[in-house]
Amino acid sequence: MSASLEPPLPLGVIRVVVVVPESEKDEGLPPMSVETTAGLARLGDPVELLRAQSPAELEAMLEDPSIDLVLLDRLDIGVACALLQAISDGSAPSVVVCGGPEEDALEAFRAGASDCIQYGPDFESVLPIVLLEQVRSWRAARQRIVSERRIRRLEDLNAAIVLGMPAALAVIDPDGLIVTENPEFGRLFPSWSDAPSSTPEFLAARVPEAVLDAVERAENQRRDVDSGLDAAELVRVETAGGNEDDGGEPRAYEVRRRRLDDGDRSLLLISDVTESEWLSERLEALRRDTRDIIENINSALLVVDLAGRITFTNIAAELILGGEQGDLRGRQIGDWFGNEGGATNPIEDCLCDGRRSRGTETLLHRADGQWIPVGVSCSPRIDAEGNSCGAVAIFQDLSEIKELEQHVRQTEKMASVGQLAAGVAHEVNNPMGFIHANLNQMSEYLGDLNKYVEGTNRLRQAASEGDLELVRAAAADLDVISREIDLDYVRADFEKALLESSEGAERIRHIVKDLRDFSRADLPERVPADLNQALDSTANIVFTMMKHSVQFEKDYGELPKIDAYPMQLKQVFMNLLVNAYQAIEARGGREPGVIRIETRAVDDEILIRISDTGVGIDPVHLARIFEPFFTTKAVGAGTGLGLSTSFKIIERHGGRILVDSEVDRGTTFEVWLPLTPPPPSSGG
Amino acid sequence: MSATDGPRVLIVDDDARVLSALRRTLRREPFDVETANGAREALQRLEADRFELVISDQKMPGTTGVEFLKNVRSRWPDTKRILLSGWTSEIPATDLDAAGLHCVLAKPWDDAELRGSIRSAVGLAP
Repeated sequence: MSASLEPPLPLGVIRVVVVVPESEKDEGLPPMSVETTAGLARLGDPVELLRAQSPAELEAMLEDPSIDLVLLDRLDIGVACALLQAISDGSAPSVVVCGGPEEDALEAFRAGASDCIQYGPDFESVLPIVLLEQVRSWRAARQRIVSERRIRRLEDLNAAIVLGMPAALAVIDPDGLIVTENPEFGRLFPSWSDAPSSTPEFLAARVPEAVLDAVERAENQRRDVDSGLDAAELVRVETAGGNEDDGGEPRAYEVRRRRLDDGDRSLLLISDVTESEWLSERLEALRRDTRDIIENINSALLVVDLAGRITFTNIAAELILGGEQGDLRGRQIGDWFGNEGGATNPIEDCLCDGRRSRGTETLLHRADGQWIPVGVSCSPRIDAEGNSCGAVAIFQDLSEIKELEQHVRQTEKMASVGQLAAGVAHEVNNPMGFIHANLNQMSEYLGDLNKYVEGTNRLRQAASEGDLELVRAAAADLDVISREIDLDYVRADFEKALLESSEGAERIRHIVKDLRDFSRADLPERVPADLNQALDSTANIVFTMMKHSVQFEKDYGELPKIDAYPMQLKQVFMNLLVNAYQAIEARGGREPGVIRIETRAVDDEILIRISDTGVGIDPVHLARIFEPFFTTKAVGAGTGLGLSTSFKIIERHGGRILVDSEVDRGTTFEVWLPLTPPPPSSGG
Repeated sequence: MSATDGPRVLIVDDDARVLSALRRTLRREPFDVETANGAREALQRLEADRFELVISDQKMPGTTGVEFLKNVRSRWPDTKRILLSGWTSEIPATDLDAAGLHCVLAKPWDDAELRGSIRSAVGLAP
């Protein structure tokens, strides 16, 4: 509390936090008494006044080391003491101004006030001296306090890092003694000795041999490289360092060693990387598995970027697209898909508008130059941010499947012919029977006629010799032969047998030709087809076989030609007609049943209606008749594929097939075909 | 053809060419061959005259040979029956039994076998 005798140095702006009684808070600055204000005015240095509204605010303000002073002005001594106690050591000095008794001042000092000034006659002159003294000494101390605080914080931080680090840290001296270590080090490599923890231990006593070797190698590597960077060494330790948690599983450690600045001691940083090792091994295994799967699947897989350039192909894709060319990355996928026959490129469609495809059939230009049918499934490739970054496509060579399909179709067609076998056999065997019999007879007739010719030869011989007796005898002989062989009958019947036989041969030729026409395979492309002609020729085959029990009624309308697979359509007609015939047969009546065939062009469609007067279809079965292998026929009488195949064929033509049936009255099938069929890409 | 006073044989087939060829084949046989173009005509002939043997085709308008021969069996049990068919495999065996056939002959037939079968059916020496 003594005034400075030396001339005061200017202090610059003095920053003062003022706390005044509660009641005066709202009265604005300056909040102090007239005396205090006057005293401050005498300081000679500019004063910046700050106001603390609450103890918390005061505390926060004091965090700022540039605050020079706290002035507690005329507060109730209890409030003042509470505040003083809340102010921590090392904060700016606090001066209490009070008007109370001496005891108040004593109490203030006890609570930690730096000084206390009481109102009195010389208050205004004492105040600046006291305050300047406090500010000067605070400013001198402040520098040191701030530095210390900073150092303490750094130390705290370092300690937190070292303690909390999930890596083992230790400092070793040149002899291999552990100078210091963090808890993680102790956890990874517990001490086995009973000695007090303050006794230095050798590193060799704590860590497994492999780790010790790694520490040495790390040091050597550092010297070799001389880069000043830490050298890292990854080691695997077969048996654990004693940690019971790991159950003796092999562990992997990463060891770093750094020579400390003093040149003798080294910092060791050892991380247990078993988990991350395991993870990266798993990751690698997963990657390998995925690659194996992708490379070994039968389907071709490829990835393209947004521009349609190939970024990945598996082996199957490479074989189809590139043959022996190998790497196809960077090539345009469009190169393999042409516009041949309206074939589409589902991959470009996908890139274009994100359209997904599933097994879309199209044509692909194979590496060997052939166009092959493929089924393509394609979907957009979405990156981690959810943006489209290309497309992923799987495709399969359908050549074999197509061939198989063709084969099945042909087989199915033969099966429907098979259902006609009885009819065919009868129609062929009848003429065969009589032709055969006739041939035998004609051969006999020929023998008979030869006998007669021999007789005439003898007669001619006799005549040429001019021996009348001989001539008479020969003529009589000829009469006998003529009677014997029944010459008139033989001559007439020879011709008749010949005519009848050639008619029979013609019948057989006709049947065989019809069957051959029917069994022929379709061309791969659609051709303009006359459906009346296709229906009529099929109906004729059926009629030839079934004329005994069936009467045909035909009513053909005028139809435009449509692009179609005529052989496939004939098969549909055959199936429907055979069904109609069998429905009539099943009825077992005496009078022949009727199969009525009608064709019409209706708007932009063609209608083919086939109705019969057969047994009809049980309503229970009606819903199932188009299912594959569904049949009510006896074993051998039907495969159950006729109608399902028909359905598929009509679908392939973009048409539909309808059925209406009444038990004991008959069944009507309607086939509707569009005049302009859909593009052939779907179904094939 | 004039009657030979031999056993009377009735052949039934809806195919006139078959009947014609059968007549030719049996021309010199010692039995009297008559023909009918279907089951209906055949029944009329059977009602009018006695026949030793009926040979019928299987596939005919309105009925089958087997049905017809079953009918013949029930009405004229003494008349022998032969089925002559181009496709016998679809005829149920029970039907064949029910018709009590002397034999079944296939089309195309073998002339000698045909003649032999008929002779044995009507009790003549082969």
